[in-house]
Amino acid sequence: MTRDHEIRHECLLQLYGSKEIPISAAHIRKVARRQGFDYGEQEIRDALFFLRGQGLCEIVRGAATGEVRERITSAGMLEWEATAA
Amino acid sequence: MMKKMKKRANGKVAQRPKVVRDRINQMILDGVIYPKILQALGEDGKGLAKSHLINWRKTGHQDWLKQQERLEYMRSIREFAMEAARGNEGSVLHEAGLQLAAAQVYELLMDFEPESLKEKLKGSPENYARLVTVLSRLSEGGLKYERYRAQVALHKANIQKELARSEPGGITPETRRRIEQELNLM
Repeated sequence: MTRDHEIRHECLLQLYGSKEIPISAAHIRKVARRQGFDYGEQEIRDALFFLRGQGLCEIVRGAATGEVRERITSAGMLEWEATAA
Repeated sequence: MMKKMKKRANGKVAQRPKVVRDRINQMILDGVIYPKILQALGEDGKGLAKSHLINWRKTGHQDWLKQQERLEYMRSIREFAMEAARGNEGSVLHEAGLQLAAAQVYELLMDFEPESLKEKLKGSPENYARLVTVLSRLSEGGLKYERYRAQVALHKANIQKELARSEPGGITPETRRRIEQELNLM
């Protein structure tokens, strides 16, 4: 698995774990770091961009603050259940 | 220490479809012995030997277990966060707002590290006292908030009652006085 694949896998795992709750790239990075992965925030953003392009996750923007978070789509859930792990 | 990049598992079990791997993982977890696993797999286990399962148990199965643990942990935090956000029914949160509120609680809880708390407390015992004070303040605040919510709900019900009573002829001065009284209490 290349580093890019690994980061995408980690992002999809966290998105799948948080289900309907949207999470930020910074949060994904923190949790991954605790698991011993040294992914940069930009790398995570790139992975999320890729997953978004595949229709596996979507952006959720806080109306009041404009904060950007990501949430898994049903296609993302199916992808995780069918192939990952 | 950061982890080294992991090599993708490519053993005999890893090459099987996910459905089969899941069955194997579940059976290993349940403590089913290897010959029984092979027997239970039937056609799906064709070409697999006991040694493949032993290898899988040390590698891929461990990754699977770790992943299950992580997902289970996230599930429990997620449920708690959603419940905490839903607890604010009175504040009329829309579904999107609810999810963002839950997201904040979720991220906060996921950030919380029991290990680092333990470390901090180990070094300075006076932090115990601080922690106890903060916890008691928090629960006191929670109680006050609950009481306040109950009071508001009661006043709201009283106002609704008064409004319903005064419908045919508009609001009477008496009703208006009572509503004002209730509002002042808030």
